[in-house]
Amino acid sequence: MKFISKNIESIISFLTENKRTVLAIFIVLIVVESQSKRLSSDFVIFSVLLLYGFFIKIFRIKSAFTFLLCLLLLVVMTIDYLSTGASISTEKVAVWLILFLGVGVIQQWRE
Amino acid sequence: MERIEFLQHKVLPLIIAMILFMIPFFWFKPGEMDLGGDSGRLYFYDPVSYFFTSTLYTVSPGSVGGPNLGYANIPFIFLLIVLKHIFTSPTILISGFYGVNLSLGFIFCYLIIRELTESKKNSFYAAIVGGLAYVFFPVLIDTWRHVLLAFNQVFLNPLIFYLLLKYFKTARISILFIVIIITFIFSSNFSALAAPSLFAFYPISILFLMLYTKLIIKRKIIVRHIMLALFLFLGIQAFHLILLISSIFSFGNTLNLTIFSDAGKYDRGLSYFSSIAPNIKASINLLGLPQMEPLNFFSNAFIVFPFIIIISFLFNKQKTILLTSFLFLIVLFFATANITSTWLSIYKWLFNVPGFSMFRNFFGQWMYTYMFFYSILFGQAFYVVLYALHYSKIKLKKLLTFLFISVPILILVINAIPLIKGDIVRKAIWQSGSIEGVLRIGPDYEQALSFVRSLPAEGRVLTLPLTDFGYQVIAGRNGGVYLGPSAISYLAGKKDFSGYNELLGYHDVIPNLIKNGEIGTFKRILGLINVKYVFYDADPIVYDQFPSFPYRHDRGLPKDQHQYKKFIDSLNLKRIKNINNKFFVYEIPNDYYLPQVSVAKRSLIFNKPIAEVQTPLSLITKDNRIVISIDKENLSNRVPVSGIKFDEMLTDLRGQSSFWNVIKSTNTSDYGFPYTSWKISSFVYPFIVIREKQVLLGHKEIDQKYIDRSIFFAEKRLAELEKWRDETFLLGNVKSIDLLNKSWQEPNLVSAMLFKKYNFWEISLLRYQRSIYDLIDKIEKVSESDSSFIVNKDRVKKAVSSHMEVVYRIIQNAQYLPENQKIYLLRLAINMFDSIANRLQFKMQSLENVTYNFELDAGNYEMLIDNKSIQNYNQSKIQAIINDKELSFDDFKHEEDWLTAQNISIKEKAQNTLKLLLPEARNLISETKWELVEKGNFATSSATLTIDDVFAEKFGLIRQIANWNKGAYYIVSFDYITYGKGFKFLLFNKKGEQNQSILADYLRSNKWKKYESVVASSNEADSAFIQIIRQQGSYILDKIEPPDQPTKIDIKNLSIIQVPDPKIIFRKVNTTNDQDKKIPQITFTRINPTKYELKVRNAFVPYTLVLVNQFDKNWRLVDLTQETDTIRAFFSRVVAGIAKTVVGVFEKENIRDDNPVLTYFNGDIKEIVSKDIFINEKTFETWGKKEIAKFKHFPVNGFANAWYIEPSDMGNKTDYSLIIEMSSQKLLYVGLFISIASAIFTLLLIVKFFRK
Repeated sequence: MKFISKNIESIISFLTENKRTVLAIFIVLIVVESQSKRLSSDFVIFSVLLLYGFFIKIFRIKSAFTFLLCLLLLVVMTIDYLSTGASISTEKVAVWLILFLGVGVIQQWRE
Repeated sequence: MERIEFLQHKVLPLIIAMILFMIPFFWFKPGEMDLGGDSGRLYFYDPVSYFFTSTLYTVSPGSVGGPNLGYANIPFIFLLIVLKHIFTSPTILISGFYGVNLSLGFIFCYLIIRELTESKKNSFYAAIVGGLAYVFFPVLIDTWRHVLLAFNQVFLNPLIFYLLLKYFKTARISILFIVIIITFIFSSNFSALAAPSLFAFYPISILFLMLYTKLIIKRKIIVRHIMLALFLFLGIQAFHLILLISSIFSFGNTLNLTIFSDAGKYDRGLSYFSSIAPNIKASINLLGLPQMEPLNFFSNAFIVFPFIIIISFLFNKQKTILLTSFLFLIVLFFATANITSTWLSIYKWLFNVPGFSMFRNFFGQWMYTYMFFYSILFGQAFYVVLYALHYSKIKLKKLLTFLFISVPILILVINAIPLIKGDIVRKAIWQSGSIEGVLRIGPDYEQALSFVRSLPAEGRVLTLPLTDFGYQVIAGRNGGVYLGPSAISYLAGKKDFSGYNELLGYHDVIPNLIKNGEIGTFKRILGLINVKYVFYDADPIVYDQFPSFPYRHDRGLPKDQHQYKKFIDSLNLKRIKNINNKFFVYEIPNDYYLPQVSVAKRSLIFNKPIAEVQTPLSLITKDNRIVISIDKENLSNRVPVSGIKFDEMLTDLRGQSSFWNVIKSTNTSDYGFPYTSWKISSFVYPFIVIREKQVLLGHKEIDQKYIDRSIFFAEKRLAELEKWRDETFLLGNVKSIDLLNKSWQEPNLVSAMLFKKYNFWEISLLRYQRSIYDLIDKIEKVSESDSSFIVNKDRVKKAVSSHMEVVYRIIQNAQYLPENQKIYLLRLAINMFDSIANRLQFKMQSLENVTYNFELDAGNYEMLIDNKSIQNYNQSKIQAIINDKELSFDDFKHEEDWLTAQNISIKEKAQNTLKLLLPEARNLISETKWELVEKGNFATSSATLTIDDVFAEKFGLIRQIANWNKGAYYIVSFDYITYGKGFKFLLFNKKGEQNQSILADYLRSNKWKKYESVVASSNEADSAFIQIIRQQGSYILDKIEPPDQPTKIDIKNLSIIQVPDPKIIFRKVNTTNDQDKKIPQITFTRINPTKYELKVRNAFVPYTLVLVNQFDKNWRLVDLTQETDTIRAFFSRVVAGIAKTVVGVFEKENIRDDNPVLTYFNGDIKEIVSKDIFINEKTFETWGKKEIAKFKHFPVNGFANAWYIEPSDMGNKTDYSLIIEMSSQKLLYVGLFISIASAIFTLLLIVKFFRK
């Protein structure tokens, strides 16, 4: 038990130390996933949202960061929309945008 | 400065509102109107006529006279009458209402945003932009093309929201009273007709306002205010709510069925939702653009709006905007549906909730709410950004502020130019030849309408040309048209059939009779359904300019106005009006016409649907006063008919034939191609597998329903592969699906979930094969006891044949599979289908004689054989054996339509057997030869055919089928060998120049094989032919086939034989002679569409009284001389007495004795022509009086009401009076009283609070 909690602590401290890198990878992965032609699985979507919730907790992420992420997603959606119309990838980014907007609203309410 | 600010904040919004109000006045020239659509909006054209025909009664003014919900519009239409009196022009009325929607929509959104931002300095601009966004967002602009009665929600939603917001902020109860009065005036927006938009907007808005009050402004919600308001609201809306609640809980009512039946919840609700949900895009919604519409490049500019919203959160410090966002997101989820599979599944699950099916067209129904929340969110977001900009220290702040304000306004206004110019409302009608929906009604049509209104008899009208759904097309003077519900019903007050679908059970019969030129029967049916007049609009625009919608039914009706005219002339009807060779009115002769109320001369009970009405009509030719009671209709309406003595009983034996399974096997399946929501790899998927198994286990017997369901589930495996093929893995080492079947075990739930054991191509194919094998096993087992059931293998075979094509397509289109894997999968699939085909082989039953096993009541019967159904046989060789009694051809009497054998004695109610021995059936192919399609001159009777040239490969060989009959069944049979190559066998119906494939199958075999299948010819077929072509595959399919073999198919023993299906009727006559039957004479007066006064004379014997109006248990027959002995009835009489006194004060005697009288059937039926009376002293005369023949009220003639009245019901009197009334109308009177009282009370409360 002790071993597990020790490992978790070390993982958290590792993540905290590399906060920027971790978040950058996280965001890039979302954007890359949204651009794939395969439909997103709910398992992936909710796992990512849970992970983001976890990051909010450990990184003390502010709502402004979430809204910046939304802004980025909106830019990606705009590019997608202009180039491909309401294609699968545009829809996927739109769904990510809506979900992160929801997360941001809840975050800001709590702040 | 203050003066400038006043001008800005108060005057500018008003100026904008005024401009918006004026815009619609430039859309129409004087006299023009944009009428039409589902609600027709004829109330703008003639509100007075509309009010009296369409709102005051609970019986619909259209077609069969079903339930009417139009009474919910009473206050609104009354308001229109007042306004029409003031402004006189319908154009001004329409423009005014459009202006109100635009201006009030804007102004109240503006005020809401001002309130939510607490009227701070910069919020003025934000509120202007937010208000403009609400009325000019593209998605809202799009709705101007389909304006319905509930369209007033465009201004009502912001208006009521604003008033409620004011109330919650100030707690001034008088505001709530004003809201209640507004809901009364626009009650149509709070009725069942507007239920989806009502439930989409108000619950979520009230939630917002309560949360805002509690969490943001932290005020107390005064419960007693809310309760009082709710009480007054229910009171003021009572006139439609009472009826609505009563309808919801009345079994069999349309509303009850829509809400509670599986057909309502799933077939009309969920299926519709599932079909449109994939097309609704979240990205389009975020931009506020219309869904499923082509978008122009300018639409991209709307990306600015979500940008501003998201940027605002970076500067936001207010909770109001967060609360608005939260509610906005909830509405966005409902308006989009496609936000994660989980939400989609929850949404689908919600269709289990009774009433939720109203959201089947979810986007259209949530859209107004969505745009409202979008606009007020955008207004607040705009304010936040503007505020941040105002207090920032950036350079060019003023310029940036100017740009920030002007860019969204410019985008909105530029995009709204088509609306501002009126182009949106003037768009061409869908699928018409560029015909606008804006029209100026000409004097000719007004004259025609007035003539129809003045027609004396209450009979129905048949409006031609016949449309699809009860629409009528009217051409205007300006080249535009009206396309909407029939003006003859809604303005002239004559019930009319203007649409093919309105003919209910007759909807296929009538067009077929027209096509076949059976004019006599056609006229008899018109008479039977109470059609007295035919209204024909000969204007070429209304028919020839609409090549498809609303005339999509292709049932042999005339193709153009020229043919229509010829057809109407062929009816040989008396023309009673011709208006400028444009509008014609004809009259049906009284011999055919059955008045609205009549007494039947002949009553019969029939075991077939009313669609087979020709059978009883051809047997009873003397008089059209017949009632036909249908067994199934009585059952579905839960009407017991055991106490009713019918004159005749007709039993059609076709359902009991030994070939019934053969015939039934050709029925179309109820299931379409399956839609899959869950991936095979999903965690939920194993549960779906379990559910499917349970559904199949839930079937009590192995019948066609079970077979279709099993095929549907098997097909789901293929649909899953089609949808998720790019995410499905390949095992890659399977030799054949048969071999895999031996080793693969169905995984348990845990291993299926964890190891995703279903997610393989081969496993899906194997599961498909297993489903089909299980089904074949079941069919074989049932066939052990019922040998004819084996023919269902043919049904499965046809399904499998279409699946084969699907599988080949899926494999070939799998982009992620390399070619070798595609070949591997194709080989597996071909072998699998070969194995299935082997198991589907069966021997078709012999066609030599037909046996019928049937049960009948004991008695003496006539046996009739329809001449037409045995015309292909040598009739002199036909023999019949009934319960061992032999009948030869000579024992039958030969009449025009029937062969009749008398005195067939059925001794007791037991199983009877009829064996019909027919001569050997003709092979329809024996007289024709094979022909090569391209070479024309090539014809052969050779049994060996080699397709070795390019033409044959492309078009194949054909062979005509001689003596092909429509609506018949055939067995196709032959032996074939294809030497490993694939061929396709096709059978086409020919209808004129059109070919329709009715049978298609793949042929592939290395040894001689027997092919047998049953096929049904269509009802329109003139002839037929068969065709054999090379299988049209792809290069991959070609690679699998043996290269060294010739492309050759040998066929022998080809035969196509008609399945014997003679129409045999057993007729039991209880009352022999019509002349001896003394039916009473009646005189009826229509008081209004819900009440008829009836005088009966000489009622010595039991008789059947008929009211030709849609069957409804709420139609009652009341004897005014008898009182009901219940407490409720006593109170009803007391209330009726008071009501009579009150009405008597206001009413002068209006009963006239000089009303004209129409006479039918030598005076047996008299109709007193009278004007409708909505209310007078006699309105309440039936309250608390005795209903008679309640349990002998049953549906007849497809939709009408009938009562079987015995002398004892009326105390053995022979001359008496009765009232036929629709009891739901009483609820309308009660509801109206409560509503008017509540409205007066609310107005008094308003006065009282304002004085304070």
